[in-house]
Amino acid sequence: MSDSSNQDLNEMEPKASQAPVPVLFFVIFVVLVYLSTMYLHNNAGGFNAKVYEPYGSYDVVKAVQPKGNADPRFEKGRVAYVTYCAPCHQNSGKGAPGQFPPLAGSDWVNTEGPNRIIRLIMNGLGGPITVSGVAWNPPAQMPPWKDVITDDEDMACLITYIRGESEWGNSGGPVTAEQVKAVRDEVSSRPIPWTEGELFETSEQ
Amino acid sequence: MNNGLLLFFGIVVAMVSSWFGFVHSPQLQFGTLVPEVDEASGATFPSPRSGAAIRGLDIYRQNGCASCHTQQVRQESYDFTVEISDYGDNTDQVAELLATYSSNYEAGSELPALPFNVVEGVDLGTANRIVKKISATEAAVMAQIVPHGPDIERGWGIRRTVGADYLLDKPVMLGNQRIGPDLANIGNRNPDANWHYVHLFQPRKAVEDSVMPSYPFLFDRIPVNGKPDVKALRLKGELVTDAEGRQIIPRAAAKDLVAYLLSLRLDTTLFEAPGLVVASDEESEATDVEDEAASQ
Repeated sequence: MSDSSNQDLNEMEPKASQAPVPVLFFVIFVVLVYLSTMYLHNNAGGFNAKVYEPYGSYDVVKAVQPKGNADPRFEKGRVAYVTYCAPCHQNSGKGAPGQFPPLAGSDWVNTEGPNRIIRLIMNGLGGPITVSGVAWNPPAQMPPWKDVITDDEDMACLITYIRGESEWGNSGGPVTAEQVKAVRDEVSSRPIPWTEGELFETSEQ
Repeated sequence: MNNGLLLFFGIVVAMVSSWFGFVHSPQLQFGTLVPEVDEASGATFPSPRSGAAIRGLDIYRQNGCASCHTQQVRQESYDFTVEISDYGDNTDQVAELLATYSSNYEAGSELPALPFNVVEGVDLGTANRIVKKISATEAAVMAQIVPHGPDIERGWGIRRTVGADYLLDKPVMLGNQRIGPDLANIGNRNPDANWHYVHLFQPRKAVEDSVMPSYPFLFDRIPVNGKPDVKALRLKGELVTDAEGRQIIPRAAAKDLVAYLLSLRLDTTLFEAPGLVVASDEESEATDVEDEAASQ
């Protein structure tokens, strides 16, 4: 071993050669990207947060929802009830003892026609009232709702719910927007709440 | 380093693309999830935990419970059951249709007791077709989805877990090993707080072949002086004691942890994870707990 050959090795710089990338590499790469994109397209459920395995897409999730016989007007009325009425009459419809009379099983609600209950809700009610044979003297009067629930159909849905909620034992028939409108036209000029006696003077239908 | 710049950009591209894949896209997908409020009942999902249960999550985390317990329920498939809840007035037509579709009903025999499952394990198309035929007779009938999977069959939940289930967990205690059973539904499977205390203090007392470590430091051990404390642990009416005959009283940490465990429930259905809600009565729930305690 001579000194000169060692020196040659030391001076030699390592250098990467410039070989072209094989075409096959690009082909495989493109095929892989294509396959993974297809996989995501078929299995990712459109990246929707509401879609999970084994439900393939949003449409599938929607289609498999349990379908009850629920009436949309009834459900709309339930929402309105919870918003406006439940604070006093409670979600259970049982009211509050000594303060607010019940709607569940009430003879004011389960009438043949909705005339009196529409009037009562439109203008509110003051003074003592007898509900299902029990005498009530609420400490506060029921407020008028005619200026709060101004849409006749909304009011009709609400009363349909109150009259038809079978969980409360109620079984009154549905109410139409026309029935509500007829009463609204009649009472719109009345500024004060009803009393029990005045309501009894109106028709039950 | 001849190609330093190329190498640098190669690394940047690799890091940025994986950030988009692993961080950004899940954020886009789930980042906007918020607890849902049911308009009709005013209830939120997931329902907020009590203060003790929120502290309990930290105890769960401190003691490494998630190393051996998962909180995720798997679902492999689903099918449909057609249930009839009211025969209506046209009973002859209903009987005819039941004879056509149901293998559990023989033509000419009396209509079965309600609610009756007309068919089970059918696909959506078949279920909808049968529902349409039967509802034309004005009977009350409905197709109900039934999720299937090994965990659901074990009773570990009525459906799979989804992102919305974990909205209130900070951090999420998913777990990835099932050395112990899944706990996503433990609050339903065993709602007996006392059983959980005993199980945490000495797992072998509650479950004979348990491999769970005991957590005695979550409890005070106090010598019995006259009558045992009302808060002392009891199993099936008998006082639980340690080797020296001292009574066992849960510390605050144990109470928090058990409050957390009992808050883990997988019994509600969601839009993204529909399932079959089975109306449970108190009696069957109580026997389930006893069976489970006996079998575990």
